[in-house]
Amino acid sequence: MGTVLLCLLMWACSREAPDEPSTTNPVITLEHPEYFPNDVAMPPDNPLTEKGVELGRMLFYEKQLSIDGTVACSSCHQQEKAFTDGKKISTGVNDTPGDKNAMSLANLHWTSRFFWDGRAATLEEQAVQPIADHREMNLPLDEAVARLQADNQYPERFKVAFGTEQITEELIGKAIAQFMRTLVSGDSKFDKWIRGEVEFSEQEQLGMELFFTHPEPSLQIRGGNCGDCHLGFLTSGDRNNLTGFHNNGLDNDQDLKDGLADVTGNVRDKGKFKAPTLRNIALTAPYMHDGRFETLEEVLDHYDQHIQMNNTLDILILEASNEPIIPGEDIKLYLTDGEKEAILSFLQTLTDEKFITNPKFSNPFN
Amino acid sequence: MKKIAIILLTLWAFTACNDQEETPASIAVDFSFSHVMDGNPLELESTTFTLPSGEQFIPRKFKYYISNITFKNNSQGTSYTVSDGYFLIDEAGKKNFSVEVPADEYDQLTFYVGVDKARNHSTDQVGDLDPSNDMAWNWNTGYKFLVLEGEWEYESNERQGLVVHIGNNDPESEQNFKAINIDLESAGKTLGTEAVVDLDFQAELNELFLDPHELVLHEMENTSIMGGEWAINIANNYQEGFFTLQ
Repeated sequence: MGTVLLCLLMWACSREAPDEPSTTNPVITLEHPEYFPNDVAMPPDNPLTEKGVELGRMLFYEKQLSIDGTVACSSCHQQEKAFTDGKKISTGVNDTPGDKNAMSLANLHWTSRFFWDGRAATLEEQAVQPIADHREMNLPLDEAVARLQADNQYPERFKVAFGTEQITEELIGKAIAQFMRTLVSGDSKFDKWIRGEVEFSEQEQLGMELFFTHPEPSLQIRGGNCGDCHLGFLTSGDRNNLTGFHNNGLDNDQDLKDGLADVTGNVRDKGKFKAPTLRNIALTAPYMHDGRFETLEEVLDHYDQHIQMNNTLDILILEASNEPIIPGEDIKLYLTDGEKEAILSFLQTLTDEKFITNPKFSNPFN
Repeated sequence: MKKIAIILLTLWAFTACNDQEETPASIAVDFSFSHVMDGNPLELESTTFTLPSGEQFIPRKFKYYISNITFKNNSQGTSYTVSDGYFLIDEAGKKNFSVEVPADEYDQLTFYVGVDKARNHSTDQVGDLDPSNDMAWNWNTGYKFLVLEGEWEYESNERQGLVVHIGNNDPESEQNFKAINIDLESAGKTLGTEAVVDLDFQAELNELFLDPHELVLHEMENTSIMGGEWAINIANNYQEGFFTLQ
């Protein structure tokens, strides 16, 4: 009796009894460098689990998820290319061309609003859209569910991962999202430099400082203006709402694509696209949402000399130059060749060899 | 008898969990900040405001650091400084935070806009000082203390950017790292009797453009203000009359 009472007392004081740890499918923590933001919560309805990630990895590489069984998520997101495909515009089943460049997948837990135009609010939502998109895998989601349900191993795997054999679109999205969250890139030379493990060359050091600095000629501060959109250690866009989307002066008003305005309906968002992470940027050519630039030199030349004026051009570009700005003149950064080379050498330090060779991210069917 | 004992013990168990049985040793102070422009709630990216000097202005970003919070009890001569407290207030994000202070009768409050020298030049930090929060300049120049960005027009359709990035607390002077002094007593907010206190501040953005230094955008050579004389002027503007305790 005494023991029962004691148990009752202890239980009464603990607001939440801890869940029984599942022996078959333990919850896992997302491993990441300690200087990545620690305040980004895991979605409460989709915690990372060992079996969820494992299932997500299979689905990521599963060709049954395309109408004719020829492509998987991994077709456009190849590990050795930091999960891009090297093409200007990605193609789906039957070589159907899309209209966008495949985005690199890295550190997605620290990003928000997915796709170049921000149409998915969560990674779970993003994960299933390419399956159904007729330009990509072109498989209606109910058909995707039916195929996996009829498979000899997936129902059991969903049961272990999510407690039910009843496969749904939502669970497919959750599993793939879990795997994608584990794609953490945090072991580049830049990371080693942050951790004090390596030194930068003088050129890399200068490149990093230029990267993160907004120029101000009146104070003799020179900058490459990259860090205004590609923030901090993650070098990816702002996580707050839609502030990570920018119009970077690719086209004049006449040729400007809608971008974010397609999603928000706000004319002020015309021409804004997601600022992607620049981690592994040396591996993810070609560049921009439409893959228009083949090399990083071309990208830098665009920002330095070829900004197109338009009505929604980002004001941090509008107001950035290493020379005094003359109203009415073209917007130019006026970087020197040496400064451009320094920025390029810093960008090379963002390449993470471990990320592109990590066996945990590779095709499980091989 | 046993049954009564169980009921009594169970009752005791529930009351034992109740936190309000003793006078708290500390006070939880909940700070919250709201932002207005000419008295109207600040809206980012959607609303056109008129600046004191007449320009049309659409704000798109407004954020700043609050740090070095000190509560004082003037009659006793005691004070308490919140250690390691750096809080980023962002119109598009978090606009409140809480601190725990030892119970005392506080009648004065001081906080700073910005980041002190001790933490300003090492941008490899976490939490609100995380460089991914879009407030780190770089390792040499430190943090931006206050950021206001937007677009403005004046008597034409020529779109121009206003980019106010204020930082700098170089060792020779505190420059733009400014103390804000709040008289809790005169605001009727003296602390001491309650375990939880709400301090709701309102910041009027017009004050950044006025008093003591008037900012007339269309007369300025350059409206990207990242240092120098105009940054100091704006810092003086936010030191006085910018925050009011509601």
